[in-house]
Amino acid sequence: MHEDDERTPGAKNTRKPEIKDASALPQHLGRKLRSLFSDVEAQPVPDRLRELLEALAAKEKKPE
Amino acid sequence: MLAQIPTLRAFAFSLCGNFERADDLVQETLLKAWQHLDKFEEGTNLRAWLYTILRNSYFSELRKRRREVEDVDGKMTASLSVAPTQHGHVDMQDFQKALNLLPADQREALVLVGAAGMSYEEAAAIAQCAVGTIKSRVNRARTRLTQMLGMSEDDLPGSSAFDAGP
Repeated sequence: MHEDDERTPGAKNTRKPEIKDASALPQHLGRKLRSLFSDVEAQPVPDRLRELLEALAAKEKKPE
Repeated sequence: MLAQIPTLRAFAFSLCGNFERADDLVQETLLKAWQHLDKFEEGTNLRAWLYTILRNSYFSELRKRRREVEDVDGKMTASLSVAPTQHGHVDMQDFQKALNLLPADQREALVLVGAAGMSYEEAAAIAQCAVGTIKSRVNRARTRLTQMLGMSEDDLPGSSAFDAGP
C-alpha cells in the first residue's frame, strides 16, 4: 500500500474517533502508549504511598 | 521523592498492567531507595535511578512467578487474542491487552523510549543492556504490537513512529 499520506500535516492533532488510513495505525499506537502513561501520571498520589514517604521521613531525617 | 511518585506509577503500570501491583512496585521502590539513599549520587538523574530500582523489582518478581507458573505464560499468550482493529481504531483496553502480551523486556524498552521520553542511551542504562539491544527491542515491540492489533508489517511507516525523543 502507499505510505505517502502517513505524515499528513495536522493529522497528529486531530482526534478522530477512527482512522481510516491503515498506515496511520502505528502512530496511533504511539499516541495510545503515551496517553496510557500520562493518564496514570496525572492521577493523584495514593494515600498509602504518600503516608509511606511521610513515615520514612519522620523516622530518619534524610533529604527529600 | 514525592514528586517522582506519579512517573513511577505510570512506569510501573505500563509494565505490569495492574494498579495494585503497580503501587506495590512503587512502594517497594521507595523503601529500597530510602534504604540506599547514600548510593544515590547527588546531581545525577533521580528519576532514572528510581526507574532502575523499580524495573529490577519488577523483573525479579517476574522471574519468581515464571518459576511457579512455568510454561503457563506461553499458553496464555497463545490463547488470549486481541480484537482485530476496525478501520485502524484501537480502543485503550485492546491496546493495553496487546501491550501486556509483549515480552516484558520489549515492553520495558517500548515504554521507556515511547512513553517515558527516555533516550535510547538512558533506556539502556536503566535496562542494563546495550543501546543496540534497546533499539531492537523497541523495533520488535512495535512490530508485534502492530501485528497483534491486526496490522501487517507492511503497514508500518518509518521507524520513528514510537520515538518520542530526538
